[in-house]
Amino acid sequence: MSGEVKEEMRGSSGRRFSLYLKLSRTPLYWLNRALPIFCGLVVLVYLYFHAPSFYRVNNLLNILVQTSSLGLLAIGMTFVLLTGGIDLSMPANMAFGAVLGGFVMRAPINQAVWWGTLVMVAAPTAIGFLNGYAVAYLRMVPFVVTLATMTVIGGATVWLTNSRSVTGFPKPYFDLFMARFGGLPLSVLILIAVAAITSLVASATILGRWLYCVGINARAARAARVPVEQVTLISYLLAGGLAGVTAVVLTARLGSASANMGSDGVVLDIVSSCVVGGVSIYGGVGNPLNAVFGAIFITLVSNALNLLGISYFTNLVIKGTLIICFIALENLRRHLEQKFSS
Amino acid sequence: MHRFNSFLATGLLAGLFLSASLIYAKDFTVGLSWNAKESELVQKWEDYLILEGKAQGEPAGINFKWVINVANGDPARQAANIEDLINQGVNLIIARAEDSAAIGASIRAANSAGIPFITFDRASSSDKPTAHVGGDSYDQAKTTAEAFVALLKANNVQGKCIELQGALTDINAVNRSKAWHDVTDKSGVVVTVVSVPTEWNPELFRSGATNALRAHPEANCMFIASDFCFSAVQSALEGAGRWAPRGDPKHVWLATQDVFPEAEKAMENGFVDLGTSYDAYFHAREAIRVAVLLAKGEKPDCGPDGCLVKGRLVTQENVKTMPNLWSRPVK
Repeated sequence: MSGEVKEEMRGSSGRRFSLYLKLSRTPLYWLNRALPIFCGLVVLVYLYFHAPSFYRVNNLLNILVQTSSLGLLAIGMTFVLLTGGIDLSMPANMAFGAVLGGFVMRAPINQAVWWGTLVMVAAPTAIGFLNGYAVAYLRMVPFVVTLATMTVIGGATVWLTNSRSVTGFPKPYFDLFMARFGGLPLSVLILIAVAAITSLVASATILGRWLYCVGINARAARAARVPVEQVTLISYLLAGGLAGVTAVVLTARLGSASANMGSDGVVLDIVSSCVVGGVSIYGGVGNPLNAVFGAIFITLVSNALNLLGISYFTNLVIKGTLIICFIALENLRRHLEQKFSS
Repeated sequence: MHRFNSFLATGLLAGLFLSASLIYAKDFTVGLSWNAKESELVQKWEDYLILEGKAQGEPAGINFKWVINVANGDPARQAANIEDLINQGVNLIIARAEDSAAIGASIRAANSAGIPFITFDRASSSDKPTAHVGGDSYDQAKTTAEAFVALLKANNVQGKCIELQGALTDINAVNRSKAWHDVTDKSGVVVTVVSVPTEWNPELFRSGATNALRAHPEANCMFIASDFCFSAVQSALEGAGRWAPRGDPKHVWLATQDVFPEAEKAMENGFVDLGTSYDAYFHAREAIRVAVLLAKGEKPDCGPDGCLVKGRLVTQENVKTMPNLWSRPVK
C-alpha cells in the first residue's frame, strides 16, 4: 500500500473518530443507539414469560429456515439497491425458475435433479441479465422495467403451469436440499455461505467499491472510470442468480412449485428486510450481511406475533409500525452524522 | 341440625359435581391456519368453528382454545405459520391450504410432531392428512349443472355458456370445472364457448367476463365457479348491457356456486337463476365433530374423499325459504 493511500486512510479514520466524539456528546445519539436494543430486550423478556416456546431449539431453527429464502432474496435486492436501482421482479423470477426447473426435474433424462437445479438457477439469472441490460444499456427506469418483467414472467408462469402446482419431484432432490449438516438444514448453510461471500465481495473487492460508487453518484463514478454499465448489469445478474438459488431451497421446502410462490407481498418483505438492515433505497449505503439481519428481524417479528397469538390484522399493524420506527431511527442517525460532520 | 346436615350434603354434592366437571373438561388447543381472509366466507367459518367448538365441546368435556394465523395468500408464509403452530405445541391443526400441493410439506411436519392435521375446505393433492373436512365441490357443481341443464331445457334455451373458472391450484376449482364439463358437454343443451381462468381474483372475474362477453356476443349463459365477488361479474354484465332479470330478452342465464350474500340477493331479484350453496355453518359443524373425535383419541369416520358436506340447490323458487342459508345470519 502506498504512503499516500495510508495517509488518506489515516485521515479518513481520524475524521470518523472526530465525528464519533462529537456525536457521543449528544443524548439523542445514545437514545438512537440504545432504543432498539432496549426495546428488543423488553420483547425478549416478554416472550420468555408469555410465549416460552419461542426459545425452543426447534423454533429458533425454524426461524433460521424461514429466513433462508427471504435472506437470499434480500441479499440479491441489496446489490441492486446499492447501485440505486430496484428489482420488483425477484419473487416472480423465483417462481418462474422453480417451475421451469421442476419441469426439467420430472423429465425422464439422466441426472434430472442436477439439470433441473441448474435450470432453476440459470433461468432467473437470464431474466436478471435482461433486467440489467434494459436498465444499464437502454437507460430504462428500473422500477418500470422490473415491474413489467414481473408482470410478463408472472403471466408466463401461470400460462406454463395452467395455474396448477408442479409436483412429483424426484426423491434425491429432497434428500439433498432438506438434509441437515451439523444439525443445521442445508438451506441455512447456503444462506450463511452466500452472506459471507457477498459481504466479502461488497466490502473487500473492487467490484464492491464500484457498486457503492455507482450508487452514491453514477456520474462521478463514470468520471472516475468506473464501468457503470457493467457494474449495474452485474448487480441485476446477481439478483437474478440469487432468486434462482432461492427457488431451489424454497421448492424443496414446499415440495411443489407454482406461480403463487411469487406473490406481491413477498416484494414488500424483501424491501422491508433491506431497509431494516440499513440498506438505503437511494443507493450507496448498506451491506448484504445487514440485509440478512433485516430478514431475520422480519421473520422474528412474524414468529413472535404468531406465538403470542396476536390477531392477523394487529400483526400487520405492528409489523408496519416497527418497520417505520426502524427507518425513522436510521434517518435520525444519518441526520445527526450529517449535522456533526459538516 | 337436620337442616344443617341437608345444606352440608347439598353443598358437598354441588362441590363434587363442579370439581368433577372441572377435572373432566380438558383444554384442547387448535391451531387454525387460514391461507387468506379474502372473503367474508372465511370469517364466517372462523366464527362458526368457535361457536361450534363451544357448543359441541362442552358436552364432550373439551375446552377448545384457538390459535389463529393468516398467510396472506403466500404458500411459504403458510408453511412458516404452521411450523409456528407446531412449535407452540397445539393439539390439532386445521388448515385451509393456499396451495393444495404445498400443504403436503406441512402435513408431513405435523405428522413428525405427532399432531393430527385436518385439511379444511381444500384437500391436499399430495400427502394425506388425518382427516379432510369440506364441501363436496364436485357434487356441488354437478347438482348445479344438472339443474341448470333442466332449467334451460324447460325454457327452450340452447345454452352457449361462458365458464368463469377459479384458481386451478385450488382443488375445489378443479372439481367444479370438471363436474360442469362432465354434465354439460354431453347434455346437448349447453355448450361452453369459453373457459376463463380467474385465479379467484375479483379483477380477473370482471375483466375476464367483460372480454368473454365481447368476444362471444352469442353467449347467453354463464357458470361462475364462485360468487364471492359477484359484484365484479354484475359490473361486467352491466357494462355489456346484459344485466337483466329472468323474463327480460337481455337476460343472461346465471348458474353460480356458494351463494354469497350478494348472489343470494340477486337471486331473490331474479338475476341469478340457481346455484348450490357452500354451507359454511355445516362445514364448521362437521370439522368440530371430527375434532372432538380426535380429542378423545378416536379415529374420524370419514369416507375415502374425507368428511364432505353436500351443498343444497338454491333456486329463485326456494331462495327465500331455504333454512339456515349461511349468507343470512345464523340464529
